[in-house]
Amino acid sequence: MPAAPPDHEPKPIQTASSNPDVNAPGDTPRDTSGPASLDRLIRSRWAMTSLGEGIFLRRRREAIVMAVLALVATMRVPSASQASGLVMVEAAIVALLFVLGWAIDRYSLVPRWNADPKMAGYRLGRLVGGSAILVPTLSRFVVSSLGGEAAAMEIVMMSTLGVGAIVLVFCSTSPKNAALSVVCSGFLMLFTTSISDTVGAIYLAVVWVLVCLWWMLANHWERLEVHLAQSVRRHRGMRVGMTTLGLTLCGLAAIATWGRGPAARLIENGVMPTSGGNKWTDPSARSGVGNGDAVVAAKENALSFGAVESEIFLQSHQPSLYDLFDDVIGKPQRVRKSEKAMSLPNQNPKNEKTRAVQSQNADAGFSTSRQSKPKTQKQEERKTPTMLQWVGPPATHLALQRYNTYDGVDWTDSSDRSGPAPRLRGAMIRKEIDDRVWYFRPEPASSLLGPARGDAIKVINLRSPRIAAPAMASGVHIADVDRDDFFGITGDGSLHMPDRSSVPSLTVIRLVTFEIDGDELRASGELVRRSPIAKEADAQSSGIASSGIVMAGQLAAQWTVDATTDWQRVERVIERLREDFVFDRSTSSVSEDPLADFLKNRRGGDHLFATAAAVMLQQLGFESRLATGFYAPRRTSRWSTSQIDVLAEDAHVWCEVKAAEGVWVPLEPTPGYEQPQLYRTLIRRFASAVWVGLPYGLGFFVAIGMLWYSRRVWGEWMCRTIWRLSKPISERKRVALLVRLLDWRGRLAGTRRGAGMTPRRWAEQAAMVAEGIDGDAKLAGLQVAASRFFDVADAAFYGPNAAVPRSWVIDADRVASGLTVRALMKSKRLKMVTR
Amino acid sequence: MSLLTAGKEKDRHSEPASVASETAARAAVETLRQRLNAVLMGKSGQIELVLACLLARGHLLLDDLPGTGKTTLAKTLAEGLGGRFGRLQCTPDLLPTDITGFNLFNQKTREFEFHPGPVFSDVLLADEINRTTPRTQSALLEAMAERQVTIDAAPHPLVDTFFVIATQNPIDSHGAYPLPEAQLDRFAMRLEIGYPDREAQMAMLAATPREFAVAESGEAEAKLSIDELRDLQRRVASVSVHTAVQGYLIDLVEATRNHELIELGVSPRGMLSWQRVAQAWAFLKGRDFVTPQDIQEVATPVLSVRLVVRSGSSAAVIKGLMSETTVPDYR
Repeated sequence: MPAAPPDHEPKPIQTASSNPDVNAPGDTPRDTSGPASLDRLIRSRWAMTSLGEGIFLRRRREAIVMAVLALVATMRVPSASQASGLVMVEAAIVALLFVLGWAIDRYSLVPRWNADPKMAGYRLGRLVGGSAILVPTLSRFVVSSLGGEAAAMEIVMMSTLGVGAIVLVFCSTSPKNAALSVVCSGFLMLFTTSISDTVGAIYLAVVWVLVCLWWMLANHWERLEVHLAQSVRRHRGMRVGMTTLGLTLCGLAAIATWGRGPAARLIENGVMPTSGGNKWTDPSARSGVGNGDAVVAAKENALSFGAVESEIFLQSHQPSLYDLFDDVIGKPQRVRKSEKAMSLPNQNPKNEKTRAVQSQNADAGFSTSRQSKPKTQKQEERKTPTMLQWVGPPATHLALQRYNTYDGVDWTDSSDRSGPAPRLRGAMIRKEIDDRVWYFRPEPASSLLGPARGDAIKVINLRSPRIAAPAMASGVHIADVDRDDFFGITGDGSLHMPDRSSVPSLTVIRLVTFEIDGDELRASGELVRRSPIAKEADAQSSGIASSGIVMAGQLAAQWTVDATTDWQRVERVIERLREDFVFDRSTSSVSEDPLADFLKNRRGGDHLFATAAAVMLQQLGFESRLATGFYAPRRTSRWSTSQIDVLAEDAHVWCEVKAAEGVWVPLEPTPGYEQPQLYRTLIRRFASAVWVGLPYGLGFFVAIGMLWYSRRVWGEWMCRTIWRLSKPISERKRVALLVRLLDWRGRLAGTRRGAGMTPRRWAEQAAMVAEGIDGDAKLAGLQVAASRFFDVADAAFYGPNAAVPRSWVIDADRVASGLTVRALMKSKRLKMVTR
Repeated sequence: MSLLTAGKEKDRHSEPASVASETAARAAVETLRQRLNAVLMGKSGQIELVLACLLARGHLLLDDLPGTGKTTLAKTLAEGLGGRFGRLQCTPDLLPTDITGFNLFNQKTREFEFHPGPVFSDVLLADEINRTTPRTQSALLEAMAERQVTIDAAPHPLVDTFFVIATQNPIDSHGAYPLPEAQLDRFAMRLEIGYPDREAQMAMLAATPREFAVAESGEAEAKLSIDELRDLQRRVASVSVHTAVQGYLIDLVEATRNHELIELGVSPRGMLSWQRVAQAWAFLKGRDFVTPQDIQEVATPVLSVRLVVRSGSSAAVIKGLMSETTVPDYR
């Protein structure tokens, strides 16, 4: 880039006699001492914008400096969830792409077969540099798909805006984009400075403001110097027309979408959802009326202790899981034994609770001297509906309680029949890792265990001494809680805090969970079989098996006839339940044998699905049990972090099957809920993704192939449509548009205009051949029309007087309708014959 | 009203007298064109280029086989202009002073008197220029480039419309002295006339000697006066060239300098000459601006006089150059 800065001192205004577009023949050509990469295309563009090359380069350079400053400011925004190393990698990739794009453009690093390496280098360079805008989004996508902690969506959007500001200048050939870039970087700088709490941000902002001032001052004087208009022709019709058109389109769109879909509600109620106070509330809203306490109480971020560390063992009114199930599925009902009775007449009902109203101020008179009524109204707090927050992969099943024995109506746990919260059943092993005290349950020695991952839970409104955790949660850690008697394992294998009525609200519990190796499970296929003793115990406890259990056993046997391994049997049962049965929580299951009804009606709530699955697997001889707890869904997954708000309606029932000693695999028989993800190696995941994506890929290629095959048809259609729709644009632009459309048609027809052939010669030749092909009356006079059109085009673009005669439209329409793809293809064939 | 920004209307277009004189000048050009077409049948393309060369204030080199009408064309053109006509039959023994003139001591007046040579004319026909020695050829260098001759340290200016038409025969290599590059670069273009087509030859055979004689002598025909020619040349020089077209011209010139088959590309003087010929070409087509196509259409005669090609034919190289260099888009 030229090093000489422009002269920013005011200069005497030049006379209007020199048209910057046209050099007099005697004049020396315009100074072209720019970098070699800025090719003729841009030069001519600059000439049209009446800006000198030096001015344009200066604007670009300074706009880029401002955009880079804004981007650096964005990178400094503190982000708890994003590693600073990742930010640096992103910045390095962005910088690399820009440098690569610049080098390709500067040195024309394109394949040798390119007819115009300068232009190809220019285009490829812009493409490579412009692709940097995707880096923040792609980085988030890649990191999150690899299971890492991705950047918050807000940060990604800000980074994209910052990179976009650079791209805008890097790729543009118009000085307007430099101004737009400055607006973008200015917004970003203002925003990041206002949310930043470090001094460095202020310094950056000051530097940015100085550069911006410098930029604006220079623009002011240059504008005076350059933009001395010889004449300004106002054209109000176009503005009014376009404004009216925009208004009409907006109105039509509003009428069409009003009241339909969430997007319309979003427009209706304001874009930003709140947790209360306006018409639109959203569980994942981050701020709003009444949320101040939640913020102070650190309910917003699952991993923050915040101000509540000292209040961790306070009691509050929170529902238990049983209450939730009553709310979600319905209260358990017992079949009442009816006895004979008769009604008696209702005589002399006793009014017990009526109380006489008494005046507290009796005999005190009535005073007129009174204080005014206080007008302060306390804002009612909106309580968060979140039961707990889950920081871990979505679609995870968080179990609180398990039951292994079914008597036809009720599930009980054979190891824990005596009531909730038993005394410490299993000892946990204390380990210190990085100065933190962890408690681990004895690790089962099984090849089915995959790698371990770290999760976290924050209890918000749930009241339970048990810790909601995945099936294979092994280790647990609560900050500063390092006493051995605080953690235990219940008889059904759940983690809990013994001798407590509940885990205190706002406790952050960190977990280590082993993943179950799905590949290994499929490969071995063997599951733990039920011991005959357990079967006998069941039979004794439930008496004679209900018809539902028998039916379940028969169905399971029927479904798994062709399965060869235990795991295949399990999969068949789950698949059939998911496919053949309808999930409907509103179905009443009040019955003497709910399972039998469910198997007959094929409709019911998730408790029946889970019951059916667990019973069927038991009937097939496997160790299985019912699990109750929560399902952490995908839908409330927040943008900013990977935490999920688990609500009351996410209470869920599913089942687990024992794969090996100490290894329980969660199974999801209810349709609509995702199957728990088993661990797979990267290669197998990739292979699976390829297999799943193959039909889509093939479909995509077929679609692309069909589009390619029919390109001439829709290409011609598009060209015609664009030409018809182009009437509102200026005549000069329309002339250029038609020439470009002819070029597109030529490419589609296979008669591409060579780099060195003028559009006029190409079109005249094509028109001449097309006109003489088969005496088509429609094509008569096409060559003359083409000549006349190019006379106008040449005069408009190269002549000193850019006036376009009114009659040009007739010739232009003639050319647009005559030199079609079809006509060009015909002329191409004829040329081949005559050659 | 058009949205397009109207440029400044040039003053000359608003003067009725100027319009009238331009009409007369164009009519005179048309007459000259007709005369040339009558003499050189079937070669209207070449005749247009000759006229362009004349209006561009360039010098013309006619390079073709004997008997193709080179000298006839040159003579007719010279006679069509109402100025003085000088002729040189170049031979090996021709001296520079035979061209430029010389100082002769007058015994009576006891002073040197300057005797001007044929170069002091409006149109100079240098027939078979490659037959004379380089020394004599060089006598034309100053006259062609600067339109003056210096004799005994005294400059003698020529008329500003001074126009050289040189012919040369590519076949006869015996006793021929090829023109040096410096000399060639001073010509605006080189033309090959070529044999006429069948139709033109039929017309030639059918024409009576009288018709030929009238055509050649230009009797009773209006001539293009030197003043008119000067005015036309001034108008041609003011034909506008858009920066995009100039950029294209520069691209082409740079391509000739970087081409692997070209030993000597176009010089800045050649580039200016190219632009001027393109201006004249646009003027002859009735336009007051140059298009990229004008640049292309005059490229072959302009380039063939000054490009030194390492191998192969220069026409093929020029064609390749034209097809490889991207023409500007309408932007």
